[in-house]
Amino acid sequence: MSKTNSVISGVLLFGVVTSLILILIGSILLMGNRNQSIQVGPSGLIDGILKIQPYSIINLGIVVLLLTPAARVIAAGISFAVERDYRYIAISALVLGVMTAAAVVGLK
Amino acid sequence: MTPLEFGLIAAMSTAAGFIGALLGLGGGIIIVPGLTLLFAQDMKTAIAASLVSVIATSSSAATVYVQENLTNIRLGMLLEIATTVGALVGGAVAIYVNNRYLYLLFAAVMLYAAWTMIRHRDTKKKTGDSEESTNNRLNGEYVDPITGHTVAYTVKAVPVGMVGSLGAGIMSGLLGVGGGIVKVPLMNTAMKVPIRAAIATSNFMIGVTAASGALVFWMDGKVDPVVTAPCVIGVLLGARLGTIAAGKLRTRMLKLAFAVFVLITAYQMVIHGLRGL
Repeated sequence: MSKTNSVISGVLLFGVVTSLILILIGSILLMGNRNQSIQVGPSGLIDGILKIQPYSIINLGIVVLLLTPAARVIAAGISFAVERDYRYIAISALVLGVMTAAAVVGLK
Repeated sequence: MTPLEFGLIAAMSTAAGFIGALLGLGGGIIIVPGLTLLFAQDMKTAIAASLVSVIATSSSAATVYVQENLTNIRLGMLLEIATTVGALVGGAVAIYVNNRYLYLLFAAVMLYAAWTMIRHRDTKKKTGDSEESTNNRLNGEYVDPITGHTVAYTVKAVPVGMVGSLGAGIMSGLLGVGGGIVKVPLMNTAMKVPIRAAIATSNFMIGVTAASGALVFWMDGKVDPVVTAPCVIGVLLGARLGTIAAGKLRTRMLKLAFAVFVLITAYQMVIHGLRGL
């Protein structure tokens, strides 16, 4: 279980640090030029990232943060698979399913 | 938003993260009233920004708890089924409900948090007895970082835990808080999980729970990047500083100060709620 712990811990740390860096970069760009087009949620995100729009860079950082717990669930699920613990593989899948449903509900 | 405003929101969030780390709160309970009362943000914008910040602090703290083996990963993931469903429902309701109800509910949760803070807590409660449990895979064991003793425990009352976790999840998605003030006593008292493991496991669940709630808000375009950015930056910095300061500060005075802060803030939230802002 110790290796599982290291992997889960590593996934969380990577997610938080990546997200923080993106949010910091986006914020610095935004404060440099505040006349930027606003971009919230999923629509226009990819376009904004490709154009290096500050709003979208921050938004990307937020997305990374939102997906970090999901990545952690996947990491745990894989370690349960290695242990052939089918019950907890199912539980991991169920939690991921609910998170996906949350995203769908938000989209309406 | 001006750079000054950005800086002030970051400073408020740093304080929230700092106080949160010292008192064992996620910081959401300070960020939401901070954004609405001090920076005149919409209640739903504040809840969404707080949820995202809560993911950050929870994930950051979990890296340490998981490494120290304090987190009961299986128990956490089992209860997450209930907390994520709750957060989904809570988030969806929060988007549609009138802000006045959110203000009033938030005030009630704040008062409850203050009450748990100042009430005498019996943490020496005897846990792990000889009774046989049917949930063997859920049982946990960790080395107490302070005493160095190995603590083994048996998890009880899983159905009660599931129902309570559903409630904690609804509260999280609805109000933008982590819900630790419900889950920690629930796990410690009803499920007989020792307090250190209960805190670590509750924290572990908060990331996934808040992410479910935040996904509802984000997909609906309710997460404002410019309000959320200084909150995330501040709360991560504050939580870090709080963890460093934790051993060096006496928290008794801080708890009393927090109780006073809560009384004033809850009053303001009630006023906002009654005026229907």
